Amino acid sequence: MSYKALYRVWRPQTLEDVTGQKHITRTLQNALVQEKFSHAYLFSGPRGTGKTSAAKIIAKAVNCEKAPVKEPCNTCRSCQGITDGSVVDVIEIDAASNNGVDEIRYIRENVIAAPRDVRYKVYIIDEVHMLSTGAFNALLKTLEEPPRHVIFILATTEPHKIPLTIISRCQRFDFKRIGTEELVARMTYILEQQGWQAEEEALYLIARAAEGGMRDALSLLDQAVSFAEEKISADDVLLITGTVSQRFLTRVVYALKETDTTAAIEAADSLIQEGKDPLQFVEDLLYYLRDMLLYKTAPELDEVRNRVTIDDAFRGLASQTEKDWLYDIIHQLNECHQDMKRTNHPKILLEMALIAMCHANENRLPDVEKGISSPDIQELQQKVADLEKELKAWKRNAPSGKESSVASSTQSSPVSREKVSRKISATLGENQKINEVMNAATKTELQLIKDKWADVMQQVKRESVPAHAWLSDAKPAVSDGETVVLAFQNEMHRSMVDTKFHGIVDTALSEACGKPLQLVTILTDQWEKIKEAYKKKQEASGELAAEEKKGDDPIVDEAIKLVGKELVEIIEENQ
Amino acid sequence: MSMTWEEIKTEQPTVMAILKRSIDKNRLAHAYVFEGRRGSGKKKAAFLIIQYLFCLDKDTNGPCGKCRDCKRIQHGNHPDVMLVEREGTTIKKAQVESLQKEFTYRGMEPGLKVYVVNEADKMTASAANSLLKFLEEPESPTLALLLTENIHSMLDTIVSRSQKVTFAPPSLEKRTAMYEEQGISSAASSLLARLPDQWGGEELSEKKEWIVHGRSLVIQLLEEVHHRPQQTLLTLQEKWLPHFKDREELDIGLDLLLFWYRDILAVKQGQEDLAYPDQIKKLEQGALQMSETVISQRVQWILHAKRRLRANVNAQLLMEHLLLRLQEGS
Repeated sequence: MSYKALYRVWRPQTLEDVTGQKHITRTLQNALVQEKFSHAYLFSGPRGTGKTSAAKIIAKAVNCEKAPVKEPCNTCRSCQGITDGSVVDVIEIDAASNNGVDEIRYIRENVIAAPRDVRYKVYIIDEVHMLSTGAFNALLKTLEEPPRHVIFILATTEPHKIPLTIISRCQRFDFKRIGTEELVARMTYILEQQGWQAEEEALYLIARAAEGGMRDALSLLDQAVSFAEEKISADDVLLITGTVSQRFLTRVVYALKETDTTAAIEAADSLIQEGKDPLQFVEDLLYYLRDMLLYKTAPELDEVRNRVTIDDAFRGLASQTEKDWLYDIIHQLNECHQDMKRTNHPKILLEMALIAMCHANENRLPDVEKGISSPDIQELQQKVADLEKELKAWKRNAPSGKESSVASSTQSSPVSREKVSRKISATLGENQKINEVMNAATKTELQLIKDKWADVMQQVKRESVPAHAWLSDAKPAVSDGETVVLAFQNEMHRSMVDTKFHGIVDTALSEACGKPLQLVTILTDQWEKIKEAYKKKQEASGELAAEEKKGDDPIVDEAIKLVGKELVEIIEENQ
Repeated sequence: MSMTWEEIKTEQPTVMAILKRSIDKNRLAHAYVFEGRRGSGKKKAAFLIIQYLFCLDKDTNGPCGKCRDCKRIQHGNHPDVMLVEREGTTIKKAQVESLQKEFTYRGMEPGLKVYVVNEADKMTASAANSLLKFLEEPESPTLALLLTENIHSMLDTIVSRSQKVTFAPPSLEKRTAMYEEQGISSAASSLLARLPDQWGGEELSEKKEWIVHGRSLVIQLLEEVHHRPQQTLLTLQEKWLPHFKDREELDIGLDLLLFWYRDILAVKQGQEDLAYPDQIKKLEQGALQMSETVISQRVQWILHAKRRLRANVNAQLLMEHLLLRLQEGS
């Protein structure tokens, strides 16, 4: 194993090389030149931002034979001794493994002894947040007034865990995340030095995935170099980081906007199939939308966006979306992101979140309507309601007499021959109509109705509970975009809906689907037969026209079966 | 250690490609995090990779599996390969310390030393922090393989010191086929494939009859939730709770409920892979009655119930609450 990870090979050796921390390196350089450095430093900041590296550089710079200098020379005996670890006066302590009072006591005892090889004894205490409370307190006095030849450098990722009494005794430097551009610049430099090649987009992808950590970036770069055949391509990086391409994100956001749940869920499916992390995806999506929001509010702020490259698709999508919608979606994604860490069904959670987001637009509409409702409109609505009531009252009064007379007439005389035949011819007429519908029907229309059916039922229920009950065993069978055929299990249900609640269902359908729709009812048995016949006809289409008539035959047969041959009279109707 | 190099290569093509290329180019990093769901073959891949590194007689296709070193690794006897497993519920700091001590000694045999930490997310905070420095700058040539199911609960600082390798989840079809081969009915197989392999230390496939019974309970209960609401709580009391007795069993029960609603959604979307393929009629009916928003709302409730279950909520109250919510608006 002669191989050494890139981030170890390319650990910065001068302050100048510590990327992206200008505010810190400048201060330190000046302090070094003027020999005004403090006896205790605290370096804090996220992983991979150069804390430990900076500590090591300072240790060398103060001890460099050419001191006072801005940078360690890295050539003199002391510098090289410190680099290869042969100088015993620079002591690097892993506070996580040595976190007890005893270890600190050991430091205290040794602090007094003068350095052996160089001018200053430097204690670098890494991961200092892991020290126990006792250990911290044991360190306090030494840290405040150490002998002249001692420097402490504490490094940590979690400064909030460190007692305030420690922090107040140190000069504190906060390392910040390294910007995308700076990461890319450093990677390009390293690639040049190593003689490797990479696509620029690939480097940007790595930089984004690294989230401001140089070590993360170099780890990924290392992995990409190992994986890539010759030149590092963007695809290699996507594979390694488990992130998705911007194209994919654009597609998903587009699906969300268009309320295309199927597309959104298919996207989630393919994501899982490729072994990508759903949580990572949610994060990517969050950043994408955030950047879109920023682009919409302040298109000129280039450096704020860190993830997205602005292309035509992004620009197009940005112009189509509204800010409110973006707020909503980001909010929901954030919740999903929280929940996902704790679930063992991330895929299902992701799907549900996608669906909820698809419907984000619809849910918001009522609010908008509510917003409009001014007193004027309320008054108008009231007036309309009154009018409707009056109209209904009129209707009820007018035909009631007629209805009772019909009822009495049917009671008095037995069912007449004509009547039955009329009824059957009526159903035949319906069948004709159904056949027409079937000719023009499309699968997407039916899918639309099926999707909205739950809403339709809700709407009907609101209007009239009995109607909802009668309708409960009905299924949408076919639709051509103007007429919807409903199949019923039971004749009773069918006729009730057909005669009494036709209007209610019609309006509910039209409202839910957003276009005028008409209702035709049929029994399931009949429907099956019609379907069979239709299929046969489809198969035999192009043959004799006589075949077409055959399609009606089963219904006639059914009629004969139902009422007996003598009551049936076949009337040809050409519509 | 039944899986061979070839099998794992077909199962996890990307992972093996990344690792093998790194070895062949002699660019293997000193630390890797293997991340992937349970049953995705992390441990098997880890040991095969180690064999490939040590094998005396390797060719370009993988380790031979017959030589001295391969055999010793297979049997867990190799002096330079160490496996750290959790003791009790966590990996303790003392374990990491003894590992570090072990690695300060020179290898028994020249060359590389390897340690594998299984379930690395189970390390205690101090154990993980102790590993940090050791992970970054080991004194001897070292390879660390950290295996985890949940990379997000590991320290950022650990992950950033290693190269992350993501394992694809085992495909549903393959798992279903696997269970069917074991002579389990197709109805139970499709459910088993969706559940984790092990539950409370027990192989889930051992409990297939329990699953089949649970499955019919789910169907009955949901039928009642949506069509005979007055009987729901009775069934819950008489059948459901006696069947799903403790917290872990109830968790599986909730999973089964979850798959049902997921299936309804799948039917709505016209997808094929169902957990209850023989119940297609009922699922279709459900798909007609519920809008997508309603389904997703219900799934959220079930997931919510699962979370509460983990927080030690009374099982009966939890189920009653859930069922009443599921009934709303139906």
